[in-house]
Amino acid sequence: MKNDVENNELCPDCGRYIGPASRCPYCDGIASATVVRRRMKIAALTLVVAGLLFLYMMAVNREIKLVVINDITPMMNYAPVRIAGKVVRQPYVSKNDGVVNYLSFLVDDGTGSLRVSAQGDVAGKIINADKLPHKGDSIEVSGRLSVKGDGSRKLRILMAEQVVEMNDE
Amino acid sequence: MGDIVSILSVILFSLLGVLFSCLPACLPGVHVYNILGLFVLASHFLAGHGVLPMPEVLIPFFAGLMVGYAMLNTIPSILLSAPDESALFTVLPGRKYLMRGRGYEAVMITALGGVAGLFVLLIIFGLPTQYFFMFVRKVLSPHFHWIIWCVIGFMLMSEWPKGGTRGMAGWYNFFDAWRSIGIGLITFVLSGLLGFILFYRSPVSVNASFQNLMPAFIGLFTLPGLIMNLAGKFQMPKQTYQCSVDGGCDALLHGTVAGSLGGGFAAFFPVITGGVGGFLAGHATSIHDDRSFLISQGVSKLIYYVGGFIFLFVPGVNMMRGGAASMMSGLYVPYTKYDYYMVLAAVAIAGACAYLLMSPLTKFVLKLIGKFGHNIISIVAALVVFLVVVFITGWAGVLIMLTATGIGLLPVLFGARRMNCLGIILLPVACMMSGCGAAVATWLGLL
Repeated sequence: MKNDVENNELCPDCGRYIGPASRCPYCDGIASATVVRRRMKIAALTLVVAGLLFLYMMAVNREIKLVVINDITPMMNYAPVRIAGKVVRQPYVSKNDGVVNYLSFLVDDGTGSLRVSAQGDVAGKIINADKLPHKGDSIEVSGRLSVKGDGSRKLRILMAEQVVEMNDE
Repeated sequence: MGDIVSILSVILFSLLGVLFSCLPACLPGVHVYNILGLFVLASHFLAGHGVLPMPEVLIPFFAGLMVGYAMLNTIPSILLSAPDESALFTVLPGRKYLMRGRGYEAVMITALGGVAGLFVLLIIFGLPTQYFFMFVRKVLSPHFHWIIWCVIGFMLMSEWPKGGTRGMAGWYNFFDAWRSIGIGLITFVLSGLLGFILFYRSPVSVNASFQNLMPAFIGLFTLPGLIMNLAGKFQMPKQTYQCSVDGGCDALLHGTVAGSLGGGFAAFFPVITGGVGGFLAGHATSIHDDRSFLISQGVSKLIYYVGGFIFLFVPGVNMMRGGAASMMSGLYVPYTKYDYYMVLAAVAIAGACAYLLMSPLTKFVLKLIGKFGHNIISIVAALVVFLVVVFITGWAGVLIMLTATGIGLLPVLFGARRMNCLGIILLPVACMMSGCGAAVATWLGLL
C-alpha cells in the first residue's frame, strides 16, 4: 500500500517525483491520480445524466396507483395515490374574505371512507372549474396521502385536474 | 406500581435506543432514519397481529435513538469522512485533525458540543416556553417561504470562486473561476430536480413511501464519501488518544452560542437541516477557530435532530420537524404533558449514556480502522447500505440511490460545497411553500 501511495506521487510518463501536482512540470504528463479523478468525473456525470433521465421517464410514464381505502397503511404516508368511490356527504367549503381557501369531502369506495381536501389556489380552481363533486357523485381523485398514528388519514389534491367525475354504469 | 413500571420502561428503552444508535456510529452510511424505518415496519407488522407498542416504549426508544445518533454520528463523519446531511461540515476540520493523529480529539470536542447542546435543549424545553414557541410560530409561519428562499440565496451566493487567479487571462481564467460556483449551481438544480421527481411522482412503491427520500440522501451524502475513501487509498496516520480543549471556555462558549443559534434555526424552520443551520450560525458569529467550529457543529447537530423531534411533543405546538417526528406521528400522536415530560426525561437519560459511550466507541472504531483499513470498512458500509435500500425501497430505490450518488460526487470531484445537494428538499419545499410547487411539477410533466 505504501508503494501505491508513493507511486501516485510519481509522474507515470517520466517517473520523476511530482508530489500532488496534476501535471508533471518536467514532461507535462498527467498524474495518475488526476487520471483516476478524470474517470470518476466522467462516471459521475454519466450516472447523473442517465439516472435522472431514466428516473424522469419512469416518473412521467408511471400511472398513479389506484388504492383500496381499507388497504391504506401509515407506510403509505406521502404516497401519490388514486382512489375511486362515491362522495358520501355534501362537501365542506371554507372562504376567507370571500375567496375559497379550503374544501374537503368524504369518499367511500365500499371498503372504507377517506377525507379528501384541497387548499389555497387549488381549492379555488376546483370551484372555478366546476369540478367540486356533490353528495352521491362517483369520482376518481388522486393526490398525496397523509396518514398519522392516531388513525387520521387524508388525501390532499395538488391540482384541480386530479378530480375526475365518473359516469355511473 | 404502574408508575414504577412506566419509569423503568422509559429508562430501559431510552438506553436501548442509544444502544441501537451505536450501529450507525460504527457503520457509516446507516442513518438513524433507516433504523427508525425498520422499526416502523416492525411496529406495523406487530400492530397487524394485534400488538400495539405503548407510548412508554415508543417515545423513549425514538428519543434514545435520536440523541444517540445525533451524538455518535460524529464518529463516522470524522474518522471515515462519511457524514449525513447534518454533519457535512465536520468532515474537513475533522480530516485535518485525523491527518495529525488527533481524530479522537476531534470526535471528543464535537461530542462536548453535543453535551452543551443537550443542556441548552433541556433548559429551553424545561422552562415554560411553549407559549413563546406558539407565538413565534404564529408570527413566522406566513413568512417561512421567503425565509427559506433567502437561505437558499445565501447558500448559493456564499460559494466563492476557488480558481481564476493564475494562468492565462481571458476565457481560461473565467471558466476556472466559475468552475466551483457553476458546479455548485448545477448540483443544486439537479438535486432539486431529483427532489421534484421524488416529491411528486416517486418510482418507489407506495408501500414504502414513508422512506421515499432515504435512498436519495444515502446517495447524496454518504456514498460519495465512501467512494472517495476507496479511490483515494487513504492511509490513516497513527492516532493518539489525548483530548484537551485548550483555551476551553472561550471556544466552548463561542461554539455553543453559534451552534445553538444554527441548530435552533434548523430545528424550528422546515427543511433547514443542522448542517445549513450550523453554516449560517458560523457566518453570523464569525467562527474561525477549528475547536469552536467543531463544538458549534456538535451543538447544532444535536439541537437540530433532538429539538426537531421534541417540537412534536410540545403541548399546543406539536410541530412536525424532521424524519423522526414524521415517522413517530405515523405510529403515535402525542398530545399530553405526560408525553412531553417523558420525552424530556428520555432525552436526558439517553444524552448522558451516549456521551459516556463516545470515548470507548471512538477507540473501538479507530481500532477497527487500524485492523481492517478504511477500504474494507467503506466496502462493508456500502454493502449494508445497499441491502437496506433494497429491503425497504426495492430496486427503484437503488436507481434513485445511484443517481443521487452521481449528483453527490459532483461537488466532491469538482471542488464545490456538498451542501448544494440539499437542493433535493430545499427547492421543492420552497416552491411548495410559495404556492408554485404544483405549477412547477405540472410544467415538468410530473402532475
